Amino acid sequence: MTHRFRSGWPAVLLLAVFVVPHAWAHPLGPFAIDHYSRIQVTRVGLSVHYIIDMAEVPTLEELSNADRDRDGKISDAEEQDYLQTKVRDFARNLRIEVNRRALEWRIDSSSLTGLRSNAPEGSRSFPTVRIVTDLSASIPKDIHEIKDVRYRDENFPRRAGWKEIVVNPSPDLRLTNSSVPAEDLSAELTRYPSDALVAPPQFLQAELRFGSGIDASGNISLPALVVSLLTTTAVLIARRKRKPKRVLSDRPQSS
Amino acid sequence: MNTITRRRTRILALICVLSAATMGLLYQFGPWETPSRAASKLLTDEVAPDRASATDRLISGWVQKLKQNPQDGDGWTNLGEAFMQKGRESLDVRYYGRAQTAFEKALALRSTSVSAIVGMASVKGSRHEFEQSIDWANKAVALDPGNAGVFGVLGDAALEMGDYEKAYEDYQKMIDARPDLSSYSRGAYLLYLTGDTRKAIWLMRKAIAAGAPYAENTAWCRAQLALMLWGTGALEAAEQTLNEALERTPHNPHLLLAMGKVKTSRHDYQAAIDAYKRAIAVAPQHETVAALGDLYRLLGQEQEAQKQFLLIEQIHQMNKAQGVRGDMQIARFYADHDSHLSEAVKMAEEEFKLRPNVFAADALAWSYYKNARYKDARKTIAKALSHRTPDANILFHAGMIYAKEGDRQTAQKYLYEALSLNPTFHPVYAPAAVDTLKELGAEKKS
Repeated sequence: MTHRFRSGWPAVLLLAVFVVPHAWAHPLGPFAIDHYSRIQVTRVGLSVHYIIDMAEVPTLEELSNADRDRDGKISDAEEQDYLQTKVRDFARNLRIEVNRRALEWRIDSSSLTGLRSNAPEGSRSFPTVRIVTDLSASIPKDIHEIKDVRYRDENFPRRAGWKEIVVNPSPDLRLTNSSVPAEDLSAELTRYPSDALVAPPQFLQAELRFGSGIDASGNISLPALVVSLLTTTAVLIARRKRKPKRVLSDRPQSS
Repeated sequence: MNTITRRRTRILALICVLSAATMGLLYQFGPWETPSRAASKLLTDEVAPDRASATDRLISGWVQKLKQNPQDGDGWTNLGEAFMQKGRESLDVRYYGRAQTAFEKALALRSTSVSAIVGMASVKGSRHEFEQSIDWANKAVALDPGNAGVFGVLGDAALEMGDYEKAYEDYQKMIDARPDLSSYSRGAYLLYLTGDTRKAIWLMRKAIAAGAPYAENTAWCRAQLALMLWGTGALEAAEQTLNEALERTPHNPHLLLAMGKVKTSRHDYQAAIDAYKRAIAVAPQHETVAALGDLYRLLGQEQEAQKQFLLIEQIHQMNKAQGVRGDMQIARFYADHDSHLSEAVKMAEEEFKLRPNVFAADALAWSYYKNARYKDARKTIAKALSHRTPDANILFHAGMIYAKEGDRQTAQKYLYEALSLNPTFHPVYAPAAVDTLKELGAEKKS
């Protein structure tokens, strides 16, 4: 058959998509790798609660990496080796900077599930690996005031997945600006909201700015000033009131 | 006096504390913007994430608008389309589910929204549920016979079903309604499938020149163009196309897969392995993992090869356990690797019955061949050849089948055709074609 497409007028760019058929692009199976970071910053140090959750395809890839002796089974030692190597890699790829100075993570704890499937033979469920680790870093002594913190997750770059970063409130610092939310959407990758208005987050970096009544631009915010002045006054008044108490209690002794 | 003073100071302190608390509350919840509120308002879905792609920004934009006005039907359709685009870019099928939810919301607000109906058709098509896709598309045609998108969806389904005449009609209607990258690239691919490589390449170039709002769209077209060039032996042109494209989108898995093939043809196996590995890091697609395994095997790295093959095998078992039926790619993979041969035939038959297209016919014929069912193989390969698809693999399979059938001349003809089309079409099968030709030539002499 001889066909000839009549080509029409020059194309107009439309936002409506339906571009290119994609029926030929076949991912092997579920291949996403989900990331979760919960950052906390205090005057003395930073910590991150970091989770990597892999779908079936990457899990199978990891299984063959972890099975060093290739006996088809993952021994305790193989699991431990695998976890340690992975967590070290993860920590290396999580960049952290305080006031533009790079810090190193300490690995406080790490755990792993799913590498050794407990599913019975012939079961429909396939293993998925989940690695949880807690990392921390101390603030160097010569950094007297934390101004900004930058965090970047460079693990599994460009692999599809749910990429969530949340920031915990700091007990002793005032977060004046954050590029990531404080709200956890997925309960640490255990409950993914199906609401179409909650698009899978795609955060791989966070920028946090801190101040003590002084915001990032260096201006003293008025409400913060008033609050602190009033609180100081209240404290002063409360202290003043203690004086007569002491005088009264002294009286019987002096008489 | 003391009690009065004490009471007064207490009241004063209380007032201070209360006003401080009020100020604090006002500060936090008052009508003005505070930094901490700005931070907590940065819901992930509301803000463009760092290094966000154009698609991510589009999604956040529509989410924000819809949060303010959930009654905006067109907004839901637009969000659905943005999710579809994200699904295409990331190859993460979970986005199709979100897209469907968005289109359903649009339809709940207005059941006659043509773009939402086309959206549903497109979701179903992406999931290879072609019957449902066609049903939705027909609804859209009834409402708006001039909608370009719907003819794209209908043409795609016809293409998968091997009904190339119907695909031509639909794609032509699409080009008439909207001459742009989407319609041109579809037309180009169909022209290629039906043997007109020259025109296909011309139209694909036109598609690329037309441009698209998303980098991924043009990247996809460039990958297809490169594969057409490579498939017809134009290695230099193919590589140039890919190099240019990879400069724009260096991590596009379709481009990297095509680059792997070109580098393999050039016997630059290390570069090919690198390209495949980079593609797999983004999205492990069947074809890439299989090609990487084949290369490792060719280079004698059997352990690495087995790793890739095992992954394909295990994922297939998983899909099977979850009720996924016939799979042409797995059938072809088993036939290629001489394993599970009877299962390969069963799967290919099932696939060909469902979607009698050129590639399904080829996979089935090759599976018959490997099962020594040469008569069935010959009958089926005729269907794969009937559209003159310039794919050296199909021609190679045809040559091998005819050789087994004892039809030396036809076998030679197809093997020569395969090699003259693309002398390096496969690192293992191209040399095999040469060897078979030698054997056939020797037979003649003896």
